[in-house]
Amino acid sequence: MTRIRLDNVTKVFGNVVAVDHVSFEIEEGEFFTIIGPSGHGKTTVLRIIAGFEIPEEGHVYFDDRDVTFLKPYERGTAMVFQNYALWPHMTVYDNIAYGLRLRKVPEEEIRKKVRWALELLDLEGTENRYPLQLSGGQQQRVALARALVVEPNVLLLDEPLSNLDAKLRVEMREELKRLQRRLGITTVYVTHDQVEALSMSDRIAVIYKGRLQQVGTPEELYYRPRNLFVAGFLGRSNMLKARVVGHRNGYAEVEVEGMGVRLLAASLVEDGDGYAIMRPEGFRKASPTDLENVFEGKVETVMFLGDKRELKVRVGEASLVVYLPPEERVEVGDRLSLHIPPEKIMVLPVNGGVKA
Amino acid sequence: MASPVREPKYKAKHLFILGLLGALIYYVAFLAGVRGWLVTLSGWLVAGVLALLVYIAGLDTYKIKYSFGLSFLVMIAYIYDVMILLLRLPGLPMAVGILLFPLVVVHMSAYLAERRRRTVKVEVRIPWRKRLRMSFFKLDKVILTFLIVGLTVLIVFLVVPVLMMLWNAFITPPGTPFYENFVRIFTSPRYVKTNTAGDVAWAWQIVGGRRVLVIDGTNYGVLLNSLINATIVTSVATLLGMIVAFVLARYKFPGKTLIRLLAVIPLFVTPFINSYVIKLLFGMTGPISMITSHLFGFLVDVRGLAGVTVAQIMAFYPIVYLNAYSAFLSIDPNLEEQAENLGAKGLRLFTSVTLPLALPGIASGSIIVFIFSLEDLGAPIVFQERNLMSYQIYSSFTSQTGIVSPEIAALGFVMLFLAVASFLVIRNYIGMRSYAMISRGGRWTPRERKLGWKGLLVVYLVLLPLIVWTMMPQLGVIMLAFNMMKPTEFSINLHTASAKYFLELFTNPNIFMYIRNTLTYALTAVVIAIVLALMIGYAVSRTKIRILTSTLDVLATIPIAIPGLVVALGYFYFFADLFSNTPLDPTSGPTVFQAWVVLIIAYTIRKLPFVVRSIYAGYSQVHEGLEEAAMNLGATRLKTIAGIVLPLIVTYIVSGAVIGFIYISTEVSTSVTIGSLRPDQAPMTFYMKNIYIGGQLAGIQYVAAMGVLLILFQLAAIMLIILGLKQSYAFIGA
Repeated sequence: MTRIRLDNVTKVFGNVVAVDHVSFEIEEGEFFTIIGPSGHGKTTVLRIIAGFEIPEEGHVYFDDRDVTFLKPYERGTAMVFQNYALWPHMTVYDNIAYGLRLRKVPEEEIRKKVRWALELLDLEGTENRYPLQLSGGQQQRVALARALVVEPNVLLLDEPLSNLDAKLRVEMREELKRLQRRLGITTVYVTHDQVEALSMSDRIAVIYKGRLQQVGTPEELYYRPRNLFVAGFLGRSNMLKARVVGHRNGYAEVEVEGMGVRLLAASLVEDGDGYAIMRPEGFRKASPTDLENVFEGKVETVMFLGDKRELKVRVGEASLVVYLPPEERVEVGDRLSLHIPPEKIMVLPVNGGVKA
Repeated sequence: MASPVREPKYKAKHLFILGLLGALIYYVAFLAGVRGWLVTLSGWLVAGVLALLVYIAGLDTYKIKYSFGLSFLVMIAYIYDVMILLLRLPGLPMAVGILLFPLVVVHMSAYLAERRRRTVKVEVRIPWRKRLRMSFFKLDKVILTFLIVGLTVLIVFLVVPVLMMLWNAFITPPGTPFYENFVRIFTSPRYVKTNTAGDVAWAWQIVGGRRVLVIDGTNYGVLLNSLINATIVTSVATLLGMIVAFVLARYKFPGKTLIRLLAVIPLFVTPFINSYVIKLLFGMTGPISMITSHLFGFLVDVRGLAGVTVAQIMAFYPIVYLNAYSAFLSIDPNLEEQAENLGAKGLRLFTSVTLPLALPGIASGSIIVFIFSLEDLGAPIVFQERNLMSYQIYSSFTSQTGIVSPEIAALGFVMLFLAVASFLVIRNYIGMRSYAMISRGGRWTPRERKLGWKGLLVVYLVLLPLIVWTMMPQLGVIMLAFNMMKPTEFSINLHTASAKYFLELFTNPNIFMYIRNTLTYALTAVVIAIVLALMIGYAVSRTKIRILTSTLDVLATIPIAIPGLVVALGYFYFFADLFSNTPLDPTSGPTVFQAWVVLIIAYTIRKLPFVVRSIYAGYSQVHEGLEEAAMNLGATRLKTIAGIVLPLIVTYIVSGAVIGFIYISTEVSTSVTIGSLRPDQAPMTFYMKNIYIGGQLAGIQYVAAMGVLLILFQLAAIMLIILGLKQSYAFIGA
């Protein structure tokens, strides 16, 4: 298996910097996800790894070999494209066998391997069909089989699930993850879907405006975002202007603008202005034992979502999104006493440290 | 450097007021007898300077750039004003030029201003040497080879010959300025004749004791004749084609399918011989004369320039019809329904929504008609009309000396300029408007409605006769070929029918020679063109290298706009100057000169755009991801092209080849010019040109039989493409 390292990679299209000095390392066998809004360079990073684009600056290493200038066909990666890129004039069997034939594998061996791939992806019986005769989910699995059958060092997945309907997407998500774990291939996965990223990845890289914002495990990114962009992009959060006014009990004491209360919070800001980030699920109804971080608000809207209730609560002049368990019965207009533990409030610097 | 947004004070209509002002100053002075360059200049200056001031004061340039009608007018204005300034035609034409001038001034200023704005912002600075290295690194050897081969071939065999023609155009007698030839073309009465006193467009004559209305048009000199003729032909053909297309696209009536089929018949190209039949149709034995002599007791004879004009209208209007038809069909019905929903109907709906949306499609047909009309040789040769640019260039090849004069080179350059300038202008206009076709989502059934009885009357009494009339030439060719019509008069004699002439095409070695030549050349040229098109199309569709890619793209498309006679002239100079004293030298005499080499090259380059277009369409059907997937799995570029791309575009290659073959086998301009320098290596169209030898009609039935053979080629091609490849391909269009 292969370790991938990007060192200061920059890619320019015309006058637009698509990828701006990006560096990270992907461990052997890791499921590594690149996430970011559309058009912010994540697919370009993937294409640089695959060799379809050559960076203006920086280098790409597979293990310790510099592959920056190698042609796509010399890299031993296998990519699954967003639109699958199945060759319409070849049967499923021929599509899957293509890479093996290029490697001059004996036909006997090819048959065995294709059969293995068909079985692995639950595609038995489709080998003589043409791609256009298959459903979207099947096409997707053929594309995956075609990539896996050549036993690549690196598997590259470019939004492979985005063309599937919601139910199929969930199924494929689990299947992909299971396969990757079983085969242990170093995998780079590009998506703009945070649920996919959080649920599948060993580690995630967030890219915004061509720049790497943060790399870390899903938990790290979710609970300890380094900047406002990451905090806002992964999961929902209430983001309010705040000012650090003191320190107490190992926490920072902050004044949140509009709410008119002082709260204790985990802060990356030592002193002065910042933004307080509060996840909706961090709140709960206050109990008499809660001494700190308790405040009152008025319920403005309530939505029942099955697994939770989503409220909009007005506290002072601020409006907060709050999730409560579904069994909590609240009505619009109720006054509510809420609590949030200090470790669930993060204060980030004003400019957010967003690299842009 | 964003300029503050402000409400524009002035609108396009103000520009017309300014233009009118300048035009009036000039024209009133002109009518009052005050002439001279000072008056002319002041007219232009008033219009131009005021327009500039209004532009600076704040003008709605957005409207001028993006409205369908205005932007179209601007494009026309550019060409018109350049021509009027070159020709210096006094009177009304000059006044119209001044009237349009403010539009040109404002459009140009807005364009320059935008250009400056655009070039200011450069966010990223990467050394150009690094950029260059990156661009070339992305290219593997295969694509690089494609690019270089494509560029080299097109530069050597397209750019260089045209430049050599230009070079020769500046060869002048000693003691005269280097631009003397052009001065002659724009001033000598041979080319521009403003005094046409005594030259009437029509007159009564007595021929064989019968009163004949002879219509032959007025001679305004070679250059003006060509321009006027091309303008009339384009306008009438556009109007006719548009109307026919609209009725057939939007209305339902019994017999529609039949009429649609008949309407395409004039598109079958039968060089020279169809013009000959048209001459008979409009002659003293034709149907028109028959009617007038019965009703009014006189005959009609359309000759000369007038004959050329009607012949070209009949031959070329279906080009507009086809383009307009598909343009009307491709309008999303929702757009029209929305307008109707808001209360537009009838003419209002047509002029406010339908026509603007179809205009780009129609314009692409019109511009082809304009270029075809400029360079057409068939009608001028058949009507023996020497006072046209095309005839002048052609006849210089058949002069005894075997040397084409520099003045003709200059004339060729003027023709090239006219054709290419109008082509680029129209293409720019169309390109800006391609979004009109993007809005479509999914398929739709075109709007079709039933016609009322008034409409039906119009269709059957006007449209049907018109369409039958325009297919008469092809019908006449078939009748001539099978001896069902006398060679000199329009008549139908079914009892004399015989396949003798048609069969003799293949048994008489002196005639079959030409057919064999055409087939050999066309097949060879098609094979070369396909190989070139595969390389060029791939390089153009898969690379984005500054300048190089776009240059290749333009070079491969532009031959559509280059008149064949210009190619012929260019090749003459190219081979005469660079290959003198070799068998490729056109002046080396009719036994030494190897015309076949020159002809094959000329055919390949001239018709390359049609092949490239088909193959390019194929390449753009193949998503690049399909290739990347293959390369990602280890296939090299060549293996990817051979294993993935070519199998997917096979139908496009075949249809490109078929279309190329048709265009080449019916090619006229280079065939009859270069061919005339080595008659025994000349193709069919050269033989067909010799309808008259020494002023005498000669072997007309053989020529007609060749016409029938060409019709058969074209019929087979259409069948193959539509039925075999299931493609509906627009055969002609920009």
